[in-house]
Order: sequence, then structure tokens, then C-alpha cells
Amino acid sequence: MAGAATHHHHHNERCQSCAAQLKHRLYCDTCEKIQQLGQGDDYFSIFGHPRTFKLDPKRIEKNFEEMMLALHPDFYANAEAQEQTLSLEHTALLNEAKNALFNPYLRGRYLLTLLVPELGTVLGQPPQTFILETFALQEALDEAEKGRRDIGPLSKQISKLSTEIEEALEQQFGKLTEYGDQPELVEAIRAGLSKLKFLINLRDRARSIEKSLS
Amino acid sequence: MSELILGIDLGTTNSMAAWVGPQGPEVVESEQITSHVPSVVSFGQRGRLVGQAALAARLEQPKHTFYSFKRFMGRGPKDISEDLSRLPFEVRSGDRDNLLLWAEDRGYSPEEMSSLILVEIKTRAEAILGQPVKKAVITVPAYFDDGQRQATRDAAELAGLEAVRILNEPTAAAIAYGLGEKQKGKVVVYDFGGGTFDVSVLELKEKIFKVLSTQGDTRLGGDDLDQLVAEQIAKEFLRGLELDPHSRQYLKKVAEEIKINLTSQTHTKTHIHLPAIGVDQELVYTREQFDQAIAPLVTRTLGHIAQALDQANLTPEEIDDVVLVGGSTRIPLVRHQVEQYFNKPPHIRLNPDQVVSLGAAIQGHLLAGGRRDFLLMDIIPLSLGIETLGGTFSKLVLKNASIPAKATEVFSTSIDNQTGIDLNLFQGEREFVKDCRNLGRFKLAGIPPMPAGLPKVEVTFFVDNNGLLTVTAEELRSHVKAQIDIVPTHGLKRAEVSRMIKESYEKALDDFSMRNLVEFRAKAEAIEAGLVKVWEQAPKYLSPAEIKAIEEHRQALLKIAQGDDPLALKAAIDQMGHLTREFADAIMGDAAKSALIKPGKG
Repeated sequence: MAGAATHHHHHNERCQSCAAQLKHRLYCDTCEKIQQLGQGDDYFSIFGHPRTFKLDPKRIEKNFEEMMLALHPDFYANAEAQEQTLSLEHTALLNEAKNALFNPYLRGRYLLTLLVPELGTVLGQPPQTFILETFALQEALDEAEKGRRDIGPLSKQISKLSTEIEEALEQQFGKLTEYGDQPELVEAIRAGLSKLKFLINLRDRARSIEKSLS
Repeated sequence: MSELILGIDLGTTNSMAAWVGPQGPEVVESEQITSHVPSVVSFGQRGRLVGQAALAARLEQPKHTFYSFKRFMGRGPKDISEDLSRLPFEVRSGDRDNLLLWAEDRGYSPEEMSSLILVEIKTRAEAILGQPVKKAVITVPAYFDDGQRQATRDAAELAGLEAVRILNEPTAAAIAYGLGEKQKGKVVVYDFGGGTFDVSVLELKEKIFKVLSTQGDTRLGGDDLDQLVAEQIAKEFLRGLELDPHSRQYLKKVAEEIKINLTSQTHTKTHIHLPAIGVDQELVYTREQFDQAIAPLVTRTLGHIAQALDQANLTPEEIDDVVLVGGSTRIPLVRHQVEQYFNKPPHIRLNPDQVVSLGAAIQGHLLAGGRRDFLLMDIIPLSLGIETLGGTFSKLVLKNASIPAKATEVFSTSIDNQTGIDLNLFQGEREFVKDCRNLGRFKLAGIPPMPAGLPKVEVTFFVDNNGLLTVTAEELRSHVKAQIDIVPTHGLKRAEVSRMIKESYEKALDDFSMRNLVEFRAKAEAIEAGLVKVWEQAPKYLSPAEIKAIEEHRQALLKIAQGDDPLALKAAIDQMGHLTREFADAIMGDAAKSALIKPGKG
């Protein structure tokens, strides 16, 4: 069912062994050979996904499962040592990459280092204004923990804030890809990511409060 | 045909093997022999006994009959919460942080004990299947940590088996269930065995069986239930009489019988006969009393289910089916509580004692290249990491992460010109390493002298598809790779495994174990078959008294061959040899003559 449109980001990559056009980056469906990783490979490319903050989870999931069904070490128990190693490394990479991509903060941080490699991975604290803005939210969570406040609306508020930041990041990353490195844009993305990390922590806390109450 | 990879369920109380034969997955057994072996080893006057024979010796030889040693695999004295002095046999601390089971003159590691069970199963399977067995998928509780998994693999190596895969027990059950029942959806496997409890949440799709979360307790099983019942009897019925090892063993056996009786009855009557402490009485025990005794532990398992569901982000209503595994799930209270929790009756069509070994056999079939119709995606049960400043636990691979998994982190030195870094490996969920399991330590040496904080040491954790960890480290500025030598905290060192393998070969010669029994049985069968063929000629060569003696001994031999005593069987075979020697010689002589007369035939 996978139409050509699904794979137009592959730039006609060919199998390292039989030169057939690749449907999956890490595995050749034609000659069944595991592919070596190359210079241009990253968490996005191995799933045939463009380097964008906006995610196509269905495509990732589908490619993930198809490659796992081809590459999992359980299918290489009798293979040569080199194939076994590749199978282990590739499946570990697929797990690692999928985890990172499905977490918006990790995905953003990873994409930023791909687009602006010299930046490093240290993000620092969210802006002071944001911390002040969310101070009330933290206090409300303290209250909810003591059972003096309803947790439901708080969780919704945290989700809403996260979604807003994610949408802004989508646009900012879009511009960064289109127009290249601009200091102000990069700063805005860094700030957005640090906010997102902060909100994910708040969300986890809200979730654990919700559970302890139920 | 693909190579044979056996599936072995190496259980706390019972072990067995399964394979995928022409009829599909089945437990390895024939009419005469079964691979189902109690996980018990006994050292007595009659030599070393394994399995059923050892279990039978448990009351005569309480001090030298070892059971439940799976609980000590990969563990140290500090890990064992139970009172070791209550055990009928002796457990001593080894010279490291390990445990040794003491029999007469020497200590046996839990790995060695387990390897004796594996040898027994391997030998039986070879006799039944008529082909050598070299490889196996061996199951472990999902909640086993890295040390316990390594120990299991070492036990296999000691037994001359390659553990091509260490497979989680609930996951193995899910394979058998998923393929056998063609089910899809969210499934909970509730595995309450002899010594351990596991619960796993899985998502079964078309070809992919994905484990979402797992939770458990490696020290909670049917053994503990027996213990609770035995304690209750001692307290209420024997009113705190001082118990010797024999009485304790006896009570535990009584408790187990009561437990089994009460799965189908509402009350049971047992005669307790303990002359040593002057007890000789009837005991009536009701299911109500039993339920009361075990309720705290059953409730504990429900807590684990709640945690597993929580980690999988699911509610009980979202679960499509609950699969029961392990002998303890036969207990009515357990079934009732599980049914209440999920508000639906659990799945009980699969035999809870066999389903783990069957799943392991199916996985073995896949590993051997015999099939490709499913893929198991498993997870790591406990977070892995290293000790950092102030004794805090820095997690690198998180609990419930899909495996194979890889994680790296960069560390640095704290002192100028420091050339080595000690890394201390831990596994667990707590914040401080003192509350986690120590797996071992290793040293990164040969870092070029640099000011403190300048070296960048990249530590990589790699967890393979067996859930087994390897650690590598590299200093990124100098590209010095770690000289890694992990010394396991509780388990065996590589050198020890090699030495034990060597010793076991040397010892095998004078070892009257199952190996001999299988051979002797084959011999007894051959003797019987030979006699059947020529018996009608017996009156020609033998006196009626001789015929009677042989007839009687034939019956005796057949009976002994059904048993599990290699020494008795050997003696019976030798005896038969004496009785029939002249008869055999006479027949052979005549056969040779007739062969001379009729040379054209045959």
C-alpha cells in the first residue's frame, strides 16, 4: 500500500549490495541485506522522515515495525558475526531514535543540534518571565497534591500550554530550515525548548498526582 | 530441517523442556521418561540425586537436599530477606558477596545446582528425542536483574548447553498464547510460580508481540504460600514447639499438600505425625483458613498489577484478556481476586505449568530459523546506570525501555592528572545506589594526565535482546578505550565458570546421575526385548526352577526400570546377567551352529 509519495524523501537511495532502490533505509527488501549507516543518517532519515519538528507518527510507527520485522537480532541468531552485530546496533538505534522523536522536547533538541551543530546540547533554564508565569501553576499543583484542588483542569491547562509552545516551535523550525541560521530564531527555539522541558516535568507531576488520587 | 533449540523452563520448584516437533510445540516426554523434573538436588549415601529421586529424599536427608536455589541465583547475603537459618540446608556466604549451598564437604554455587537440573533435563531430552541437545532458550522471571540473568546463562554453560536466548517467562507464555489462540489486543500475563511473581502487559498485533511494561517480585511464589501455611500450623496447632529441620521440612510438605487439596476441596484432613516432638494428630484445615493465611501475598500481587498497568498507561477495563501462568494460579483465591480486579474471567485454557516452556520452544524454533511468523519485542525490567557523586544513582537505560537498547553519557575526572575512573554499575529504581542492586564494577584506565574536568569519558550501556548488559567506555580526547573487566558482585567470574566445566568433566565418570539411569533403562529395555524373542525356547535349555527365577526377576527389573534409582537398576541388570548367562551362551552356541548349517540365508 505504501505509495511513492510516502518515500519521496529517500532521494533514490540504493542498496549497498544489489543497488536496488531502497524502501527502508536500514534494510534492502530486494536482496534482504542489512545496510550500513552513512554520513547523512540521523534519527529522521532512518525512518524516511523529513528533518522537521512536525512529526508524522504513523509513518515512523509503520517504518519502525517493518524494519524491526526485518532486522531484529532474533532473526539473525545463525547469521555471520558481522550481520549479527549490525542487526543488534540497528535495532538499538531504531529504539533510541523512536523514543527521542516521540518526545517533543528530545526531538526539538536533537533537530536543533542537527541544524545548528556548533550550538551544543546545553539549553539552560527557561526565561525568568516564563518561570514567574507558571509559578501559579506550580502552587496549584501543590494544592492539588494536598487534595484541596481539582487536578483535572490543571492537567488540561498544562497540555494547552505545551501544545501552544509546540506549534510555535513548528513554525520556528520551519523558518530555520528555510532561511538558515539566524541568531534570534535560534534563541527563540532554545527558549521554547527549555519551556517545553519544564512543562513536561509539570505534566509528569500532574499525572502522578492524578494517579495517587485515583 | 532446522537445528534443534530446546525451550527450557528452569523453575524454582519445577523445570521442564519443550520442543517444536512434527506435531507442533509440545513438552518433551515419552511414555517412559519425562523432561519434567522437580528442581531439587540431594547429596546422600546413595550419591547425588536430581529431580524426583531428590525430592523423595527430602525428608530423610533434609540437610543435604537442596531446593528453591533459583532464589539465590545472582544474589548476595544482603539480598536475602528470609531467615537462612530456617532453611533445612545450610547456606553460607562465599568469599565475595555470593552465596554457597553447603553439602557435606563443599559449597555449591546456585549456578552449579541449577546446572545439575539442566544436565538432567538435557540428558532426558536426548534420550526421548534420540538426538543430541546443544542449545536452548532458557526462561527467567521477567523481573530478574542483569546478575540473575548472567547467572542463568552461566548455569547453562556449566551444563554443556548454549543458552542462545534468555527469555522472560511471562513473555514466553504470551508467545504460546498469541500464536496458539490467534489473539490480538492488550493482554496481561499474570505469572505466579513456585518462587517468583511477574506481571507483564503486552500488546499483540498481527505479527508483533510487544511488551509494554513489566513488574514483579523475585521473592514471592508458591513456596512463600506454603511457608505461611506451615507457620500458621506451627503457631496455632503446634503452639510454638521447637522444630528441628526434619519437622520443618515435614510441615512444609504438609502445607503444600493442604494447598493442593484445597484447590478442589473446601476443607482437608491431614494426619500430622512428628514423633520427635511428640505430635501425632489429625488436623482439619479449611479453605477459609488457607485464604486468610495467604491473603496478604495475593493482595501484594494485585499491587504489582496496578503498577504494571500504570506504567503501560492502561486501565483494567482496557485489557482484553488475562493469561494465568504458574502453578499458584490454580488457587481459587488467586483466580477470584484476579477476576475481580479485571472484572472478567481470566483465560485458563492453556496449561499454566507448561505454557512457559512451550513459548520458549516456539522462540527456539524461530531462532533456529524454522519460522518467521512473529516477532517478540521485549523490554528491560529495571533501570540500569552508574553511581555518581554522593552515592546517587544516575540512570542510563530506563525501566521498560525496549531492547536492544543503547545509551551513552559523558563523565569527567574530579582530580588533576587522574588516569583512571572506577565505574560502579547498579540496577534499580531508587534514587541512591545503596537502595539499588550492585551489578559489578569496572575501571577505565590509561587516561592521559589532564586537569580535572577536562577528560571526556563517554560511557556506553548496551542491553541486548536477552536483557544482558555490556558496558564500554572511551575517553573522547585521547580515544583511550576502557580496559573493561567487570567483576560480578554476586555471580561467577569467567575463570570460575571455566574451572567448574573442567571439573565437571572429570567428575562425570564416577557420577551415578540421570545419565546412567537413562542408559540403564535402555539396557533393561534391550534385555527384555531380547528375552521376549527367545523365551519360547527356554524350556529347551533351562530347568523349571531357573525359568521361575528368571520370570520373577523379569518382573522386578521392569518395575525398577520405571523408578528413578540408577544404582538399584544397575544391580538388577547385573543380577539378570548372572541369571541368564548360561541360557544366552547356549542359545548363542545353537544360533552359531544353525548359521553354519544354513549359510545361504540372512
